[in-house]
Amino acid sequence: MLTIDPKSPVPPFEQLRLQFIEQVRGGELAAGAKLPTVRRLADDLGLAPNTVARCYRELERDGFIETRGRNGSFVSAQGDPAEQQAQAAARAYADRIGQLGVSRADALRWVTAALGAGS
Amino acid sequence: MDGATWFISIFVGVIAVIGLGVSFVPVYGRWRAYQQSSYLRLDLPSRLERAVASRLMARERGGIIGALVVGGATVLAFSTGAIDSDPSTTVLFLIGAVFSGLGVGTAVAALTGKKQVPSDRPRVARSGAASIADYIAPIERVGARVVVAIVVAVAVGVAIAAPGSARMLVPTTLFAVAAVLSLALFEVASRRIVEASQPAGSTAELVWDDAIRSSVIRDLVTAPLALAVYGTVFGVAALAEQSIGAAAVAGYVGMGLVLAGLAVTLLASLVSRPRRYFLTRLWPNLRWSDTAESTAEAAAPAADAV
Repeated sequence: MLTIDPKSPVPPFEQLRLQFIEQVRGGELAAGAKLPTVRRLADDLGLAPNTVARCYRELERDGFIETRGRNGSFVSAQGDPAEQQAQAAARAYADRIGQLGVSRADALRWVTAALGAGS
Repeated sequence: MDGATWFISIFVGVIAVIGLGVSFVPVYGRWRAYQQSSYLRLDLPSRLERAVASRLMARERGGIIGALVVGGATVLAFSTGAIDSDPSTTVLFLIGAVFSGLGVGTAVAALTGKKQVPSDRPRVARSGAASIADYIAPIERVGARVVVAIVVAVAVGVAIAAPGSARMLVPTTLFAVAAVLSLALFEVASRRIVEASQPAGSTAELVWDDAIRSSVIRDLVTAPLALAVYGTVFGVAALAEQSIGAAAVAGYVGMGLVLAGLAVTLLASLVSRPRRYFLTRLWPNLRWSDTAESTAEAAAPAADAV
């Protein structure tokens, strides 16, 4: 969730950037998650599209997100190469679970069991 | 049109007009909002009560007006002889017309509504992108496409089996065309609804906006589902009627299978609680306290709109 407080002394651009970074680092925004379009987020938060675009550019420069042409902006995998691959695999698993219509609880149970069996 | 069809048409029309009138009564709007809140197990803060009720009622009004206009035009077409049909099947056309109108009216109401948040208040937005798949369960979204494909196949089957029989071909083709058009309307309108911005001043507003979006998208999918089901039952029955011997038995078995499939799908849909589907997708960790009214919020003026 993103919150922009117009009364805050922190500029909206900075509020937005910091919240995105916090969510990517905290895992709330997982690697591969799609971000809203610049125009949509600007409309939702009552900001100028340029403010959101600038925020996305800086996040991309810092390696938090990546832009895939017309497909939009996505959260980049974070950490060392092993962690990045693990995040990509987790994303692929989550996407497949979504396609199969399997419940979140079952998906978590199976992946936990698989991790237990592998250790 | 025969007497029974007139009676049904007038009865449905009167019910719709009463429903339209009731939708302007504030108490009814609030009751519907709290009914939704109870079903979704989602708190409705009192400052959002009016805005949520107003949007729900605008959607209901749109659907009823659409149903009245399209249904009324169809009754006019039948009564003046502009459309010729077997009196026993006219009522099926009318029901199909009412569903089509309901879909169109709901779409228009959903796409024309606007909401604003005062510029001095904090704004809240989701950090991830949402899609149509987040608002409607696959059983309904994919199911609509499947049943529309089936009704088109049945219409083609009827055209091959009885190319000269207008009594069989016209109704099935009309239902198939209406189902395809309403599916197209659903696809376009639901995409536009999901792409529209969601100005919100709190998590509760965002959750309720999602609830209303989900509800509208589910209303929109009803038209292609209902029309395709009608067309399929009608077409398969017509094919069975046209056939003789083993082919007729196969036709009636086919009709039985269609009806059984429908019953199973309906049951599966009810068991999976599709109205709460968006919560599991978009708000999996939502707690009652996230949308419950805080003391400070309760004291704030109710100037915002969902």
